Amino acid sequence: MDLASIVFLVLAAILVGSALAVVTLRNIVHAALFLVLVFGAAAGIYILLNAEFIAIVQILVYAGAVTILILFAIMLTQNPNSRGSNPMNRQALIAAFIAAALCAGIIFALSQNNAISAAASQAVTQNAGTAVAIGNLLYSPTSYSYVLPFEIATLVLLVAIVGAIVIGREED
Amino acid sequence: MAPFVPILIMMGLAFAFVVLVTIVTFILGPKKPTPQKNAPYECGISEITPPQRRFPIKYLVTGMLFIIFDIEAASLVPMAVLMKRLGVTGLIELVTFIAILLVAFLYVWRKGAFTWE
Amino acid sequence: MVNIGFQIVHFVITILFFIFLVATNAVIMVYLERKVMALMQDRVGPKHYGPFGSLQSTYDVLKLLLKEIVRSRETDNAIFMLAPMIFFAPVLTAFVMLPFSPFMTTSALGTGILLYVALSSLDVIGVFMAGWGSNSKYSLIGGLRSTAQMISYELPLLLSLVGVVMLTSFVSHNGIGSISFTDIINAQMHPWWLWFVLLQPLGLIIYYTCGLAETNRAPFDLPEAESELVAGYLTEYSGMQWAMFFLGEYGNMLIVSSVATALFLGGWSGPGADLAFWHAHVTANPGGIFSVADLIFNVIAVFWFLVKVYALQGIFIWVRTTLPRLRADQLMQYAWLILIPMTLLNILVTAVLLLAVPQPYTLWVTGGVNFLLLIGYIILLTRAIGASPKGTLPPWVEARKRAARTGLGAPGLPKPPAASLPPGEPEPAASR
Repeated sequence: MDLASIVFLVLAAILVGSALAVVTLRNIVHAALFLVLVFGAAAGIYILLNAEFIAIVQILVYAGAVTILILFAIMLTQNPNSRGSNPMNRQALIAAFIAAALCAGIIFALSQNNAISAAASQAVTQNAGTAVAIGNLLYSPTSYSYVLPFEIATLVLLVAIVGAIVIGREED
Repeated sequence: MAPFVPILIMMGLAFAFVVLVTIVTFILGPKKPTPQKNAPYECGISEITPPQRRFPIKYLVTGMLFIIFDIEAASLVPMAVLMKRLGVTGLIELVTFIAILLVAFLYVWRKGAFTWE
Repeated sequence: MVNIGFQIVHFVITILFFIFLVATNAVIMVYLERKVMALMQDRVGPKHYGPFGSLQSTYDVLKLLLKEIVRSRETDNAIFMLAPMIFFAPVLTAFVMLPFSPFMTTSALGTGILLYVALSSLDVIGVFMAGWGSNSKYSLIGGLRSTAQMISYELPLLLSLVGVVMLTSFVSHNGIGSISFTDIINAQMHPWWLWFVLLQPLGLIIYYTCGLAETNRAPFDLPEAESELVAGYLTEYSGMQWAMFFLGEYGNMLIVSSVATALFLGGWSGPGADLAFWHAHVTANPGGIFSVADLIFNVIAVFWFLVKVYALQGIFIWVRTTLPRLRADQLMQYAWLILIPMTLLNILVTAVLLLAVPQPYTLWVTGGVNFLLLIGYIILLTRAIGASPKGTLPPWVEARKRAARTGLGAPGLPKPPAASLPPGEPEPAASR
């Protein structure tokens, strides 16, 4: 086994472990803080795939911003400090079954189609994950360009802002 | 991947440093807890109510706006890196981008989400 | 090519240098801050230990090391203990990407600026954990205020750096810019000295303002406003755990100043240090020490970098003694209503000018217009500060005016008798 696979296994173990902690911990703030670790480990996997820019945006947006938003939202709830503030799901059995079925489905699909698994296991080539490469892909009109999808994504963000205001201002 | 190794090492060192210093003070410092000393801080009087943990919704809106604007700011960086190369096309993209951002900004402003307290 | 042994030695030296710098910087800055503030306020300041009291903060550190760690019985232990680490680790980590000289850098990371911003957003989580884990009212309010403040100021911080990234694209010969610190410093002295502060003065000012807010320094220090919140999220911390936050905060100041130096003030360029760049360039051995001359050049480079960093940190102290603390709502409005629009305008103007103005005049015109923008920003700021009480009327005057205009009674107010405002008396608000 080479170094990259060992690193990957460690990161995957951290990711899965802290994701389980997010779901099972009884204190909801602890659960939210484990989310930071989940996002960090995910960023590590991106780095392993040479997707530098995505990894850092993952930390910036998810670990830095989304977690804070979740924590702010928790602060609005009645009593986040009580021991059982993260209610356990009563449908754990069904959920476990569905999750296992989904996992099996993904593994089956990957094993059936060699092209997908080859593409999925392949790291982005060196320097293809930097800001320059992303900029070339997103904005450059000469290369295969995502200019229009990008602008549409901006519009989606605009809709998201309107939604945020509508939801957030409701209770005043 | 190689440039990230020093970052990991430095992070580990920082954690180790804090742990080490905390352990040293635990060893060197006195340990004389009293009920008064270990009470939560409350300006010299005993605590009347436990900390109320509800917080104004304004900060939630700030958080939501922050995520959205953060994504937009982060996506400006790859554009800026290539600005010269993109030329006039890039400028049009930039103007469109900022115009959409400005519409959102003005909407939020009009709705009064930028007034706190 | 350099061998692996050299790389390891290089790595150890730089890491030790950074840790040493962070640790001593806090001690030096605490002393300087007390002394300079004392001078500015016509006091004496620390004077008993060492010449001019210069050993005062060293003794303070030793004293802190011997202090008892008091822990409130209601703390959330795990979070309470972890918070100083989460706060301190990103600060120390951010140094890895900064080139203090061609030699004094460890990571040739291509995504330096973004990683710096990402790390400073991790700081926020440490602050939140401190506020929440202490389980005390003052800590919680301080922590949440600080969190909201830090995330609000992170946006203009990132946006103010976009202008610099754009400039690297225009200065480079092939139109591909860079967001790595090393490349940006090199871009600032490639043909001749072209410190980006000359082209982006507004960017520097806004970045620095956001840096003040990110480090919770005056005038943005209201998360720990000692007159209302005791010490904010630090209330329940004591001894060395408290000192870790302090160390992190001073490390953060160092980081903010270093990033400003690297991106706007030409990094390690200065009399004598550009030769190092050229030398490294000529011998095609950038980043290595191979001769005594290289060593001297690198020392000079580090010297210039530190001179600029400490000049900027001096401004931190100066600002602290000069400006009063902002109110919580003013603080947020300043970030969202003034800084973010100004940074967007800055980006737009810079892009248009760099693309539209023909070649030999491009940089001159860009710099000139950007200085005009800076003046506009200052005028806007003085008006925003000065005009706020002038334009507004007290609510009861507004209600009465509305009542007079519409003929309806103001809601919640008894209809004013006709004689309540004698004709000769001016409106109460207009006389202000």
